[in-house]
Amino acid sequence: MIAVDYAARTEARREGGFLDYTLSNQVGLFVVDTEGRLRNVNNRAAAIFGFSDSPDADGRPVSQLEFFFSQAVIERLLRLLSDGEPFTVSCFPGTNLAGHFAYYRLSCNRAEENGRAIGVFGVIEDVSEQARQQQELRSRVDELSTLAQISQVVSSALDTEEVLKVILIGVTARQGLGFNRAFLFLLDDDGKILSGRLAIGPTNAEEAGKIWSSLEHDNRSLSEILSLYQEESERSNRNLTDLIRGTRIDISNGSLFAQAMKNQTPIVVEYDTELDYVTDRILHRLGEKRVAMTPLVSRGKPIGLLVVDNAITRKEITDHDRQFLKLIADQTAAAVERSYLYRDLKDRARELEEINRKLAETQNQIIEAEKMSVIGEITSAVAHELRNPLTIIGGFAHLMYKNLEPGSPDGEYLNIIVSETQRAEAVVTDVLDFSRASKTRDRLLDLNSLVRTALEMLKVRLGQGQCQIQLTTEPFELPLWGNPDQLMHALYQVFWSLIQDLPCEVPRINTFAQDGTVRLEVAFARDGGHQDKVDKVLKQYFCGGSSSKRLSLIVAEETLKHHGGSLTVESNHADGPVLLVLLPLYKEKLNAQNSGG
Amino acid sequence: MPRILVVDDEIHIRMLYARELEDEGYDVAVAATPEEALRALRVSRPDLVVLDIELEDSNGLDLLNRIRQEFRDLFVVINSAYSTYKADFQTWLADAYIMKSSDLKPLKEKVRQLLTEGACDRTI
Repeated sequence: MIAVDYAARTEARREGGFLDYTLSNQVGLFVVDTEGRLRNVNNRAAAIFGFSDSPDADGRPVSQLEFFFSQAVIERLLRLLSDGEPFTVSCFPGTNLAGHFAYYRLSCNRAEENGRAIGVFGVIEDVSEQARQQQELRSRVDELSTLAQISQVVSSALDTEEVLKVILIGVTARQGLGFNRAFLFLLDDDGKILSGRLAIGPTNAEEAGKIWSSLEHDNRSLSEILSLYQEESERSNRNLTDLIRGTRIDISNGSLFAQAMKNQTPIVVEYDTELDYVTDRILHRLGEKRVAMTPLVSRGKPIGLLVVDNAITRKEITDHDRQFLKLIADQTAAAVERSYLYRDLKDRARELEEINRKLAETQNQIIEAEKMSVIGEITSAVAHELRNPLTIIGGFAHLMYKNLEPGSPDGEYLNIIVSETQRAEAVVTDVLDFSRASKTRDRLLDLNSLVRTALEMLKVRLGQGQCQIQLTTEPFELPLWGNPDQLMHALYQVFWSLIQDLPCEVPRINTFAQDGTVRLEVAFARDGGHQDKVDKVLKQYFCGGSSSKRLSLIVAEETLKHHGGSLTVESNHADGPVLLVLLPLYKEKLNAQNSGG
Repeated sequence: MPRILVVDDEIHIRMLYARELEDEGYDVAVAATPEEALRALRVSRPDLVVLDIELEDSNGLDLLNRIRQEFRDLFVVINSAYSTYKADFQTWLADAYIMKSSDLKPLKEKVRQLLTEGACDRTI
């Protein structure tokens, strides 16, 4: 190392006024000689390092400044003597000999003479104010960034819940305003009652630590925070929301909540603020008396109230916080209202969809009814046209039969003509009954009543005591919607067909409601001894094709189908094969019965 | 011998009814139109009319009205292929309403009842 006579140089420079400059400058200046000792430390630098004055610092080895500089900085500074690479440490924290903490900036250059290093020239500055301003600036940028992100997210969000959640998370996220908890109250449709809707935040310090540490990251976007928040804090948010859920505040009652809404201005409640009864009760419930209330105002009308606090950290709510909160509230209120409109629009669309569905259903019903009406008219016309010829054919055949000589071989044939004509007349009567029934209007019916009436008609046709059907009905009504004549006729034809085809059986009829349908089961005694016959007849009804069915049964089946029902055989039933009539249960009526006890 | 007038636009129905009712011992006349029927009523003064409703180009119910105005004591049995007319109050002017059928027993029974037991309540 080259020894330099610093005393001589100092003396020489004093004459040039350099020392005067270094001593008086507000910037800290110092020189490190080739032996690594401080030289020419001006008063500012001495004060920064914590020495009493310039001479106090002079001659001290740089290595002893480790209380101020980190070891790395000291090493870098000493290395500069040999490598000549200038360096700057922009902002570092330091505590000087006097215990004063601040942020500093250090710049170092090698001093040379005739190409030879004679020391290091250093500039040290207290940049605490700049650091504070930078920190402040960073906070503002973070806030504006949060605001921008909130605006961006809510501008594309249409679901009210999502919009509300974004607002509350934006208010509580540490990258944003960083309030501990946020509560949202929304005004009802009448604009009179403020109802607790949603809350976000931890319920205690332990939860806060857990949630906040999981979210701690400088560069997280709001979307990332949103998804993280949902995972981390769902339970605590739910608990917090439960605190305000059910809270209803009349905004005409003069409370602070009401005032904030009415005046459309934020209110900060401090610990010493005198509270009205309503506000006191609600804040007591929230467990924190220092809160900021900010109304959400959209198009000049308040639509809700945002309440925030720092219940966990107890941090003061500053004017700046209040102003920024208002900025967020103003930005987001429009989004909340838009989500309302979207919700209303969705509801309206759903209603229209339902109306369209019902319209299509009604149109189908009208088409079906018209079809049935046309079928009824055609069958009626054909049946009437047939009745006269049948009367004539059967009548003359009967006349000829009466006048035949006893034992004439033609008697049998005439008898056949007479009985077949009567069978054809019975079909005509059935068809005419059906076509007449199709003209009756649909209405609310009871399956039990229809069955009883059909059985009464059967008794009349068979004669009292000849009708052996056993009937078991539910003690309450089995409501259905339909044409009373058509359905009664269909049931009558089902019973009549069974009695005709299974004269030795005793049908057991059971009615009940199940799975949105009203049902009628026709079973037969298992010990009747004619199980094979029952199976055969029922199979013939439904497996043999329409040609093997009675016409009346085809009409009955079509009638049931027209009413949204069916006529089937259940072969795996516990009671053996059963005939099953299904019709849709009329639910409105059933609901009314249930609600009426 | 009681006299019966059968009013029907179907010739074969007229033939059938005439033969069946004659076999029952009645004096039977037939008419195909309301005009023919009114003429026969005025000339032969029957005791009972078997009246079809759907007549060709005319309505038996109009004829029933005329009969009730001119021949108050005459028994009238409506005999129709249509059951729907039962609901028409005009048919209540008749003494009976019997559906057309190849089995003429119900019609003959009603005719016998009216002519032997006199007017009774209209049976549907």
